[in-house]
Amino acid sequence: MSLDLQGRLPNATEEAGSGTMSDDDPVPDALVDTMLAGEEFPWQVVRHHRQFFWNNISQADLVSRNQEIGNCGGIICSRTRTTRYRGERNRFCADRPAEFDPQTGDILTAPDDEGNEVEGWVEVSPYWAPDSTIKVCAYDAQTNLYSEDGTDCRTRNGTSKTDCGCGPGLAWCLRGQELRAVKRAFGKSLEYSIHAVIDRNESYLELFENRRMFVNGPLVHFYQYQATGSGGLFNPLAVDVDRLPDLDYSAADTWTEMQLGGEHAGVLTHPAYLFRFMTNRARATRFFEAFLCSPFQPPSAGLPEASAESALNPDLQTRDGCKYCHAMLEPAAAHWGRWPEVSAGFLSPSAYMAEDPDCVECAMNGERCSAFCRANYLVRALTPQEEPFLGRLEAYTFRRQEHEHHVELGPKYLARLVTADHRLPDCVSRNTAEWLLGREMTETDQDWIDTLSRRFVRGGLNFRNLVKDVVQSEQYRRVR
Amino acid sequence: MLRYCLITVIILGFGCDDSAPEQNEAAISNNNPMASEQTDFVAESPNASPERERPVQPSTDEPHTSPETSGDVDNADDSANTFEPNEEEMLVIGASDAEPAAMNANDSDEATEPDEPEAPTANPANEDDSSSSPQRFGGDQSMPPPENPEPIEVDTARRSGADLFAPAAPIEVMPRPRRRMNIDQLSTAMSQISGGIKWTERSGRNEVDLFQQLSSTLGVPDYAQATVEDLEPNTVFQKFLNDAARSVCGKMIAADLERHGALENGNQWETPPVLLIDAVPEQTLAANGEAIRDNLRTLLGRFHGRRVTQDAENELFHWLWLFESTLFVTNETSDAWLAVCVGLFTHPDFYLY
Repeated sequence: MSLDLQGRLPNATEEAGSGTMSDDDPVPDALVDTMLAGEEFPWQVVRHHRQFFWNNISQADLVSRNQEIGNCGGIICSRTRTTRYRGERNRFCADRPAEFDPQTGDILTAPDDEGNEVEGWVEVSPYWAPDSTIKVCAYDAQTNLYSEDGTDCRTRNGTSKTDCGCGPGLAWCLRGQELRAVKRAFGKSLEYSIHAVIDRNESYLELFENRRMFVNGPLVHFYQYQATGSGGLFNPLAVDVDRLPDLDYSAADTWTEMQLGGEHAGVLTHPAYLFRFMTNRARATRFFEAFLCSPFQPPSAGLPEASAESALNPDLQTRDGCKYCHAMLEPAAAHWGRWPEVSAGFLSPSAYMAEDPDCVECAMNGERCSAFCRANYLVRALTPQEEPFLGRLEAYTFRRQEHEHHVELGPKYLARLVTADHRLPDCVSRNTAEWLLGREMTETDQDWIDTLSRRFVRGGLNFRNLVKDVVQSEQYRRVR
Repeated sequence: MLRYCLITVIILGFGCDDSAPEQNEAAISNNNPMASEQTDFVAESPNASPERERPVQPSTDEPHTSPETSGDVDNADDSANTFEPNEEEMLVIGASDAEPAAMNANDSDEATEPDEPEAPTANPANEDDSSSSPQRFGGDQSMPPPENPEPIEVDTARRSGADLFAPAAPIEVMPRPRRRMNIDQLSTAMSQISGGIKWTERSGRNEVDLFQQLSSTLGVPDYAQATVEDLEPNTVFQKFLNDAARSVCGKMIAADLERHGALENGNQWETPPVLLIDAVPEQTLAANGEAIRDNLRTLLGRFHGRRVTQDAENELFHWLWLFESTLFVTNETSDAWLAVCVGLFTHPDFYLY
């Protein structure tokens, strides 16, 4: 039990507490309570929950390519900006100190060994090592806040301007290792969210309802200086930058809690979840698999073949074959409708109306719609079935009236819904029993699982009590 | 039972038991769970009240609840002479004559599950017999009432009832299979047992934790490429467990030898021994059998959580053999303890739980 609840062998005190009990004897109540209240237990729960959240986003793109910098022949530069800066791909600056026009301060270029006009380097104290200096190509090291045409150099558009660089101390750019640190931090941040719910003995539902996020130095720096440059990947920003704690980039091991807006739904809207499952369907599917024990799977006998007419039906909820899963999946995915796909941003109802008059007008009149409309609203109907949804937020496409509120109420509502109908408590009880027993539950276990689930609900979805019920059960104590 | 009695009362309009108060009193004094049911019944039965209020005759004879008295009761009505209820059975009969005789005062609610249809005697023809047939309606009219009857507290709010469903059959408990420790548990357990020594290797200027470095090989999912943890004690696991055990055990025995040497030279040594706890390096089984055995018992407790008593020699047999065999081959007690240590780490009792 100590291995399961604490991740280690019992220490001398715990062994003494178990007295002379045999393997068949129940572990004393007080000893179980001590283990569950200990600081190791929440981390065991976190470890158990990794299999549900898969919180590794190492393969996701979190920033625009123009924000990435690296080693260009011993000097730091951006490989993707070379064309804009120097007119050709992979043409880097020369290994000599940069020169500047004494009047205007503009960067001066000179022919390199191959006769190309390139600039030199400047020494910069980067944000990741402020006490040292590194050589950075002068164009990349520019610190202008705005370009000549007024574009904010911190935005994605700014990264494509020749008079925009990486900012003071290269704050707007990342090397590979800083990027990896941010990705790791997002994954760890999600784990701290789980840890907090268990450590504070909150309702399990808080996992999907809380509005907190844990951030460390690299994440604070990322949100302050780099998230806006990522374009749609983090925008519209779902985190209030003014609420970020004051943490230095080097504080990678310092985790501080910050409050988020009411639209957040705990781990279900955490960037690590949103980037690990980039589409709304993937987000809903993972939730159904992990927390409702209801994977979307076709029947073993296969699906009926769709008729030619049905195959052209763009609404997967009604298309033959597809509807077997999508009739349920599409309304479920709509809960993430205001959380754009391939993004951790949030489309607030105030800035992004369910139906935008301008987008309706351009869509209906066949005019060219704005980038705002094109990015977020249905402005082009490829089939007659889509026409009723023109000018509406994309998440509303093919939404039936009875499912429209899913978009507005978000994943938090989904979590409450499945808690109320007991699907979530049932599945959590099953998952917990399987974790601690190390085997899959069978039909003969169903009554026991039902009992666990009922007690879990009656106890206010207290996860510690659920675990206690399992480890004190006959099923757990009997080992073959 | 109560249900039948209640039905009888409601339909037929007579009390179930004239002597209910006395029986209740007796039942309560016997800690009889049926007593409270009786109490409830009396309270719920509107027709029972007048009879309860009837003056009670003083008792002059033997206690009416004695088995002998029950025999008298039987004699009072030959038609009900199918069994001889004892005192406790009488209490049951008091509520309804139709209850199975097997029901006794210790029966729980489940036991009151009736063999349904034949129970109630809702026969109007019996109504006239109610006063003269105490067995049928639970009253022993010939019994003198207690001299100074005490009122019985009746809780009118309480309801008891019988379950309409048969009790569920006991669920078969499927035991859990032994599981392999995951890599985090294994690494922590090894470190705990070895007094903080980890399975590490020098890589450049850094000491690398090999459990971490080899985690994906050892089945730990990264949740990017792999999402399922492999907890099979397969050959890859066995191979690396062996490597880890050899490495950690080597460091453990080296630490203990160093400690022993320092103490021999009169120096101080702060950390406790980790492998040679009850024995010293030069001791052999032939010369110091008890010390070797004590140390093995300690190690079995430490590595496998197994408490081996002094008289359980057979539990030490394999370990003694391993110690002796290694000593015979290498002639080095440190090697013998190293072999025991590796054996303990690679034994399923260590990594399965």
